[in-house]
Amino acid sequence: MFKSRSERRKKKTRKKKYKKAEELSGSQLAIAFRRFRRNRAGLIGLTLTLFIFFLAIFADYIAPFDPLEPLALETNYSPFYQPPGTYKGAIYYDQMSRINIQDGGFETAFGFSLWTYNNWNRVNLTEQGINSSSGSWAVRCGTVENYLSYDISSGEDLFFNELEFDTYLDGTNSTTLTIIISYGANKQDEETSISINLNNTWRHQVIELSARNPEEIIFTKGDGSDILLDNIKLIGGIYFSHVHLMGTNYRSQDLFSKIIHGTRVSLIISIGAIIISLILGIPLGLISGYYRGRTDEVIMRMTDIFLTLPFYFTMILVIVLIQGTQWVDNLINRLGIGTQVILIAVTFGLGIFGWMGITRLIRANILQIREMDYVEAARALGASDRRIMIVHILPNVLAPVIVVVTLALAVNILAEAGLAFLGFTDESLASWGRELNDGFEIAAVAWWPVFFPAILIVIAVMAFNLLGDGLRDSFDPRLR
Amino acid sequence: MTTQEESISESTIEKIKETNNILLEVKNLTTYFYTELGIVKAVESVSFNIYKGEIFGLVGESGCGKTVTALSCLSLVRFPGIIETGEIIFKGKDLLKLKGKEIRKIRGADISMIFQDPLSSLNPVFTVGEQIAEVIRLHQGVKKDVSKEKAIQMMKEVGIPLAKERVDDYPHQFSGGMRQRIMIGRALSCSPSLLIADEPTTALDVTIQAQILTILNDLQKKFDLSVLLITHNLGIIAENCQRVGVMYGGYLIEIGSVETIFKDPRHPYTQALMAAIPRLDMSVQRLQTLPGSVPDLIDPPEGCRFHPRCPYAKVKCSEEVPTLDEWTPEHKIACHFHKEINLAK
Repeated sequence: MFKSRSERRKKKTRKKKYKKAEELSGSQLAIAFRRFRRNRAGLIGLTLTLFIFFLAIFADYIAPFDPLEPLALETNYSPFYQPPGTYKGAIYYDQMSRINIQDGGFETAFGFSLWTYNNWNRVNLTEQGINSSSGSWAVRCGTVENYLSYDISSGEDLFFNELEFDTYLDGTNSTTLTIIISYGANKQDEETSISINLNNTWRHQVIELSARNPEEIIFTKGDGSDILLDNIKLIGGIYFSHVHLMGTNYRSQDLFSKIIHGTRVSLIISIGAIIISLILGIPLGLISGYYRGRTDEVIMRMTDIFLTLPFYFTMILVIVLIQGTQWVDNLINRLGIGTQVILIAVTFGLGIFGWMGITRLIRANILQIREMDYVEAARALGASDRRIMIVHILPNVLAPVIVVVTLALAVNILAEAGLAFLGFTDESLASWGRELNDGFEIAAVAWWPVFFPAILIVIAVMAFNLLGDGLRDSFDPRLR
Repeated sequence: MTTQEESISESTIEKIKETNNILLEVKNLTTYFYTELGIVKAVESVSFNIYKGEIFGLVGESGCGKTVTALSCLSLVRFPGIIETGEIIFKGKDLLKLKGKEIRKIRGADISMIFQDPLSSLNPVFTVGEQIAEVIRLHQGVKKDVSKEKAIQMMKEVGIPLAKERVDDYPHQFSGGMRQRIMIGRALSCSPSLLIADEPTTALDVTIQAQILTILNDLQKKFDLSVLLITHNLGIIAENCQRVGVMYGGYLIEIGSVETIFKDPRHPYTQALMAAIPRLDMSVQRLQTLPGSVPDLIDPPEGCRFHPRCPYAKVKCSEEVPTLDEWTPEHKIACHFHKEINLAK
């Protein structure tokens, strides 16, 4: 069915006429939401905010490493203060791997571990025990250029506990480690050898294990399964999950993971603080604005008093008090929260600093709204005071409160970071401020421990501020 | 029997009849506001009755105490206003002596009130249907869907087209006249016996005003309501009311049936009001005005509050406050010399 041009034009004008009506249809929230959709800065803020929340919720799955686990391995090598781009090798055998050599009455085992960091490969052999009924044996390990050899006469323990070989492979070279074991009555009668060939290519690590007499050698992998050492080729990809995108920090923790978990800490503390502020502030504001008189005076003076408190010193006081009191510990243990006391102390303290703004805001709006006829009408139709306050007045005063809440998120994050920077946080919390503090010392040499936490704080605060501004614009009745 | 005795007994019988018909009895209502600038004597010794099924008008200039009288009836006067003395007898109970919960039961269910500005009389964050349903739920304790059905019914009663579709719309989606109708619907949703309408049409234009008053009249007949209609528009009084009370400076200065007041105003103020009505059947060069302005209620004139503007004022007027004098049982005037003034008629 074809529509004529005049029909189409009529439909267009009709659509335009209804557009205004549609714009105004729905509740104030619906109208504000529609207006918000056109506010570009607000939408950017909203996207960033949602992104940050997403990071916080799914931190466990996004973060490639455990933020708290220091990557100091069993070896002495701790990759601390590694720059961004450092990667952990894909193939990583811990000490559970063993090389068992059995020939006749001769049996020995080496613990074998191999790990790679940034093209540095380290092979680590640990002596696991020797059982020789006859003869003596010698071990020679190493590359062609660099080898160690040990001579053991029968009955004596091996000299070494641990042998380490470091090789740097950048993809253009490869290296072979050979373990030659000679045994027998004269140490030379029998010989067997194991070759470990290491080769790194772009995105791959290749390890080839081979033995001269493979039937005599059993290789136990880390998961306990045994394989004959018969030209085993292990290829491992270097995946995103092994790269330190932001480097590591002083404690050899992956900075990227720590920062992602840091969103969780910051958000929990901020949101908790805001909830406390709301719980304190809304009722006080309602009562103060609605009943006026002496109650109003008292509450306003309390607000003034709390506003004069200096932030950091009072926070320190609150934290110390909460941490030091026994009953708080008991309460937390009984509630089974199992969390750090300082987390609660900081949340509580920040909440105490937030309620005044909300109370004043609500009170100011109530002073205006209680004079409205619909309040009087509700009263004239039989509503009780409490009903009027909660059902009729509160929804009308909430609009600016929503804006304040989003801005308070930003402020609380900053405040929490500041406190953490000063040291008021727990080691087990991945707080951004703490990272700043740690990185602060080495900033002259390593830029990344300071840069990444700082930029995340900036992004988070900017996101919430943009969102709050966008909300404020969309609630503004100026355009109604 | 002589004619006089006849008329007396007749009027007594009428009075007995009327006593059974009194819905609201206001006796000596006095309300003061204790402000920083002084005590505002807003309502002084106001007494009147409202009978069942009638529309009673309360007319007067701005600031004469009409609204405060209405608010006092429902104990809606809040600090710094205090109802000093008075009794308001409604269905055998003195409303001024009732405590919070009891008076809340009466508000909305037995006596309802609608206000002047329909724009701010409805809460912008709730739908229209919800606001009507709320009153029903509050007083009748029914469930949400039932109350919504009743709300739609009420909207149809007050003449809102497409009530079912529009029950979920918000106040800002309606015009002023519609909003006032919704207000009326809200007030009448629990079938009260008395509706207090505080200048319901002042904020509306003339055609809508006519519509609203028609609806009020229809609903009044349908639900057998009494209406206390407060306005400063004499035309509305003439069209809609059966009896009217004229207030000035916080006092009720004349009360009577509409015919009597309009044909035979006896108080100088009422006479001036009637004289000031522009007329189409005579050519008038200037409208008649009354010199002076309304009295300051903080520092009102001694004695009769009208005496500074009254052309007939005597010494007594500045000393003694006149009480309502019964010229006929139907017509009472608060003036010392109303008989002398009106001898000429």
